[in-house]
Amino acid sequence: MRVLRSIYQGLDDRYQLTPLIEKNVTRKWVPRTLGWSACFGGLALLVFLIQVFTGILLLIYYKPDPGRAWDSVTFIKSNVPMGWLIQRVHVVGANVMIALVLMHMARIAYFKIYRSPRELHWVSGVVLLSLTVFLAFTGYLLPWTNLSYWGASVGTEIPGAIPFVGEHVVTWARRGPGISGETLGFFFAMHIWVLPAGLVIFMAMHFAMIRRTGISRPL
Amino acid sequence: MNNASHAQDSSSKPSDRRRFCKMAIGGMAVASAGMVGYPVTTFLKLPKSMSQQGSMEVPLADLAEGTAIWGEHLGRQIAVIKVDGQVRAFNGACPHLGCVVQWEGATRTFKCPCHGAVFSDNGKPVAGPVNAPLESVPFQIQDDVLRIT
Ligand code: HEM
Ligand code: FES
Repeated sequence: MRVLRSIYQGLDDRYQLTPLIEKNVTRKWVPRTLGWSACFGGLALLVFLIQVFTGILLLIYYKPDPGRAWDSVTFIKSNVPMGWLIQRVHVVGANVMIALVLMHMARIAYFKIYRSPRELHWVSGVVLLSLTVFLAFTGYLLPWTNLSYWGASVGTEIPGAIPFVGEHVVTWARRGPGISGETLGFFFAMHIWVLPAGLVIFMAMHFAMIRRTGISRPL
Repeated sequence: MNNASHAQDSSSKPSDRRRFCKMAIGGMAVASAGMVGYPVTTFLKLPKSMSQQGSMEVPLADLAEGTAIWGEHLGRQIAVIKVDGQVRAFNGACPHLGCVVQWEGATRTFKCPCHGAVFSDNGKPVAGPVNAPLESVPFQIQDDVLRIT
């Protein structure tokens, strides 16, 4: 304890950490009337961090190859110590994250918080919801089960309804006429890098905007 | 808030409540760290089948011409076959959706029960929904025993 305290003291002397922490955490006042529904956004962030963490752990064993993907997930679930838990947390977390983002949005809509000057909070929020849904969708293909295969088939079929370009969007998303190893590689890249990076960028913008306008004060 | 007057009102020592809160918060922090730390450090250990250097052995005397012997290696179902006196080993997982294929001695092909993929005796796809071959598995032969390590 004493060692930790003197390390902190040394850093604080040099970089004035205490006022920074007080201003942003311990003495940052929020409106008293907020209520528990104001927690959903922060909880969605927490679940995202859990997903990043468990996702990185799954990557140690997961193999994005049609011949080995299913084997590798089965290996995680039945042979890796605590693998079943980490894999389950990642699966349940995906669903919880979508639910939390939707609940967060419902609150903004119900209390009409989206009105000026917070319109772009809402717009960036819609982007965050889409990225979250795409993350769950791309992740669903990764274990390469019959369910994932058909889930991806049906899901990638949806943009086919767009007039004129629909068919092209479908083949683009599938990397070919049907779901194949190419689709798996594409979804894997999206799932572990592109979409999480997009989420981080939009979250940063979302939070920066909220800092500028301040938390909305319920009447 | 005035700490001095507060201390006089209170029958217990002034630091009691604060100490209790600190200990409760600290205790919860330690408990949470344990709840996360234990499964995560366990996850990072070597799984049994890997630390035991899981290896599969097939005595070649048991392998008759045109037949297959199945075994398990690192969670994979492996088929060792003998055709025209030549020994080959394949990962039995179908490259389509991962079902385990079956060896059919009469036609010298692997057939997948799930969506009908057919592979020749060298693993090449010849029919069905795949164009990828069965993964061939490297092995060593020593003293008439085939080993996959
Ligand atoms: C950087 C962040 C992430 C990484 C590195 C990652 C990595 C992975 C990996 C390797 C898998 C395959 C293993 C398995 O299927 O269990 C997977 C599956 C999955 N992921 Fe993620 N993931 C991340 C974030 C997310 C997020 C934010 C969501 C949802 C909002 C999500 C939803 C899913 C789903 C639904 C599956 C399928 C699980 C199954 O059915 O077995 N992932 N992820
Ligand atoms: S899993 Fe073998 S043909 Fe579909």
